[in-house]
Amino acid sequence: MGSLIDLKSRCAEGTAPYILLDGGMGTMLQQGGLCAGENPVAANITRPELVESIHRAYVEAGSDIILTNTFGASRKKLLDTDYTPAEVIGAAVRVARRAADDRAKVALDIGPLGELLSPLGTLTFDEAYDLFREQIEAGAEAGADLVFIETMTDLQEVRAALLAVKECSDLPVFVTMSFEPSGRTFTGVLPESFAIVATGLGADAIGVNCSMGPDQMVDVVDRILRHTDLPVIVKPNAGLPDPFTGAYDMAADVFAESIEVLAAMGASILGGCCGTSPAYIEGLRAHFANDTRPKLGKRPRQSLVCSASKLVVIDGVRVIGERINPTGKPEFRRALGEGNLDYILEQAISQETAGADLLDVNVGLPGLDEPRTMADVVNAIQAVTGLPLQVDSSDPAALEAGLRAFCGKAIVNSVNGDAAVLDRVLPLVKKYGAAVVGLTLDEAGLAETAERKLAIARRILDAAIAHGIPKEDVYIDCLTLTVSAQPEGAVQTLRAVRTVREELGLQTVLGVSNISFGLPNRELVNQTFLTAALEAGLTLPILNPNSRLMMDAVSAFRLLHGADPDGAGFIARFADASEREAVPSATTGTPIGDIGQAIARGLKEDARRITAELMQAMPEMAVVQEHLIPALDSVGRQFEAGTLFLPQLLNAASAAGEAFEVVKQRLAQNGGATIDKGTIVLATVRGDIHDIGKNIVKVILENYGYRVIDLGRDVLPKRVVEAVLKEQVKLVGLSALMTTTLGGMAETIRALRASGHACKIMVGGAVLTADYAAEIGADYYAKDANEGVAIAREVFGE
Amino acid sequence: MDITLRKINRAEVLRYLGYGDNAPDALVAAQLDEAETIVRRLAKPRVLYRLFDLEPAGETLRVRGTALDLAGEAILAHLAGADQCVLLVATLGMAVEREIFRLQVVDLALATVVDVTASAAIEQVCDQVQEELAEMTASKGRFLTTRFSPGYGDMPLSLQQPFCSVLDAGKIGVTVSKFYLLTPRKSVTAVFGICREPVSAPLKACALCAIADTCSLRKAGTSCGKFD
Repeated sequence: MGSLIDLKSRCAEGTAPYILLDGGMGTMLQQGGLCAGENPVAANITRPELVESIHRAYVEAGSDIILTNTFGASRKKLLDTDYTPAEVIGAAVRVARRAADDRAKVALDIGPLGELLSPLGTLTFDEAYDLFREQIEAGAEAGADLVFIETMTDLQEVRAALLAVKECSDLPVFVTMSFEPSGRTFTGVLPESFAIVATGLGADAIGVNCSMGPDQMVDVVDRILRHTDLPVIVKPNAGLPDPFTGAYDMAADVFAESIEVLAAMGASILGGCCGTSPAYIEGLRAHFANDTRPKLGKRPRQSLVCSASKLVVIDGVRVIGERINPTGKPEFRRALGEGNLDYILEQAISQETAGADLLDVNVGLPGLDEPRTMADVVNAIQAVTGLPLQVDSSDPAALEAGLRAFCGKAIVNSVNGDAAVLDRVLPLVKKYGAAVVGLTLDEAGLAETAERKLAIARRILDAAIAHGIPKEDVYIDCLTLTVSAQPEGAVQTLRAVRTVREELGLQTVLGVSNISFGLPNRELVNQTFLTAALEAGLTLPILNPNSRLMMDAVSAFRLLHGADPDGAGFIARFADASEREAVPSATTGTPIGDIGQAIARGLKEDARRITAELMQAMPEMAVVQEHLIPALDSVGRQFEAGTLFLPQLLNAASAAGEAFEVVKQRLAQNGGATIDKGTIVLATVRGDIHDIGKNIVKVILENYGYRVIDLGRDVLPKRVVEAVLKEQVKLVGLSALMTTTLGGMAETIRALRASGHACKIMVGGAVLTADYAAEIGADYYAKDANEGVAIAREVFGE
Repeated sequence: MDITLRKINRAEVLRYLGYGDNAPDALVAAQLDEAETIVRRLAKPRVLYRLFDLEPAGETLRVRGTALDLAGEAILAHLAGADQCVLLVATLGMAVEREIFRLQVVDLALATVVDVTASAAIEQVCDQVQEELAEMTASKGRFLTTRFSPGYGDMPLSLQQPFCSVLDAGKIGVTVSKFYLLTPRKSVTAVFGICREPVSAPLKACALCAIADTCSLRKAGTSCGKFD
């Protein structure tokens, strides 16, 4: 088959033949006597003659590449064998090499790790990376010709594996994922996202394997071909399995004919997965011998970004939400400093709800470990929204941490015309397959005229292309200058946006709200400037999507520019708005003034209104002490007595939260006291992702005026210790739901005690008992949230 | 194999939430409706199951042709008289999981109700499979036991890993963490015995359970495996 290195150009020219892979390995090993559920990789050592005979049959059938018997050769999957990855992989490559006998290339096969990655699972990206690295280094050492990553369903796992190949070897790498008939993988990955991300990370060929027969793959293969310029792999099952016998329904000759459809679309690397045998590869050889059609993905030149589950094509105005940024936001700074991610996640969700297409993420705060914080925040955001992210920092290490953590194609914000910055940051953009924002400033300072802005933009574009970044991935920020300070600035910026768009054909970015600093009626100025900038060619405004006026302007602009077919988006937006306004805020018939009833019944609007009314007649703290706390106590007593139930307790907590919000706003306006009865750290321990229980405790404690630092779920012991030491916290609450994660709780308690800090520890969770809590050294066992409050009252002395 | 979710058993959801036979108020009733809509919209139930022979192997029962040994007093009692078994893995898929995480940030009460509704839904999926298997078994003149899962009684949770390996649970997107947690969380593995004689009443696995004293399901008048 010749060298793999020039595969791409030969495919493009139409001088390359089809490359044939092999077929199923697992089924053939089971036919040879292996048990179901037994890891077949041990057979490389215990039954080498069986493995070799299977490889040899494929080589004789016509395979150009054979895949080693190493699908489950990670350290994690070898735990119940006596072998290391290096041992089984070394043996597997040697066996395959003997069978290949120079007639075929040997690919190190890598399958999924069998564990879901963070943030929805508990395997960290770095752990996954290390497991892959170990296999890849062993494969390279043993002399594999390439790496074949297959049957993946999680794009983050693909990224970990691909980065490990690129960073730890010089081997070519092929990657395939398994899609469902729905057109997504089990974890929700789109074929487009897979194609864009794997291509961007430097894969040599990409495609689809397993899950479906060739006939079901047509749509997914088509979508991959339209989002890559790499050779595309198809490795289907032999049709569909019988649910009872597990036998596949497609014969070898029919299989080859079905693959012909995929080949005609452009797929060029062909093989089989479950249910296929050497006869199927023989069938492919007979069908595709001497066929050298040109075949490559046909990616159009278009600007797009994506997460694993969402594709954003920038073929019109796309709004970048600006709210995840501590600048000028004390509450955000505090949340960031404390590692309180929930606050940041609320910002992410509210911007998505308000219509943002992408989210900017900036976590720069003096004294904070910015790379680590960026990785944590980017990781956590991905659990609650599928919006693509823009990683925003002046620190290249923080940019790389964000790019590494983000599962998708991100935007890097930013570079500028300074050659030193370009040389530092553009390699990262290229390595992670991202897009990049270039600011029109350089070592000489801000460009003030449109001409100089254009010149810098051109310089940034040239540098990007020199680094192998395509033009459509370069976005230019012509920089908004405050109009009150620089009256000429707005006009120059608008002119620059137009010329960058028209002369360079690039996407344009602008942070819009800077324009109005120091002016009255800022929103009007912002909205007017936004409209003018959109008209000049701005495609990626960075703004606050919760500002209705700004989003109204975007909506109207889309309507006027034919980007909103039939005006449906515009009409829906304002239909919703008028409906909202038409609903009176108090609809419920609670007797006016009965805050206890409003809270007990979970009526948020009433709770706000009545609290505001009460504050007309008495001081804020009296409202808290005489009304809100007694109302919560009453709800707590009813919950204890079994006359009020968990959902009601939570609805009451949420109504009380609204009431406290009104009080806090008033206190803040008066610049006076705050409600702060003490600080408590809460965490769901390492290994456990069930955190509803912990979250219930959190809202109840907050209701009672305690400040809660919520470290989230699956929290390492050292993170708990860090938070306790940093804030000198007197009370820590730990939660675990599973018998298997109680060990993590005990470990966290040991770490806290070892730190020498005198904090009290309360523990809770479904499988915990008071006895076990005492045994692992906790000070308190809290059977529910109310007991948590009682414990807090005891610790903080109330 | 795909399964269509039936209407979710509201009484079961209320029991999980601790209501017993009490009726929810209007606000909670609306949340229950919304939760059901969310779960029915997002759940993509999938199941895999396979039939195996059983053979005694010392203190355990070996699932023939696999590397899986069933261990624990409770499962041995449950499968007494069975010479075959069906292993099952079932899941609601990832989308419900994502939505529960998202809702916890914006509406904890609704998140809690959705979480519990999803728990009821995955049990119903297993009930549906159980009905089908019982019919198939009966048509061959044999008898199916109720289902039994790792974590019930004294059957160790660590068996999640071999259950999933034998069934190749990755094929329906189910994975096991090193703490033997299934992801997506709303997933179940289970074993059914197939016997020559009619099966007596389900055994009292709670008596062998490590957390029987604190179990919130028991307090609410139910149990994880529908035991007496």
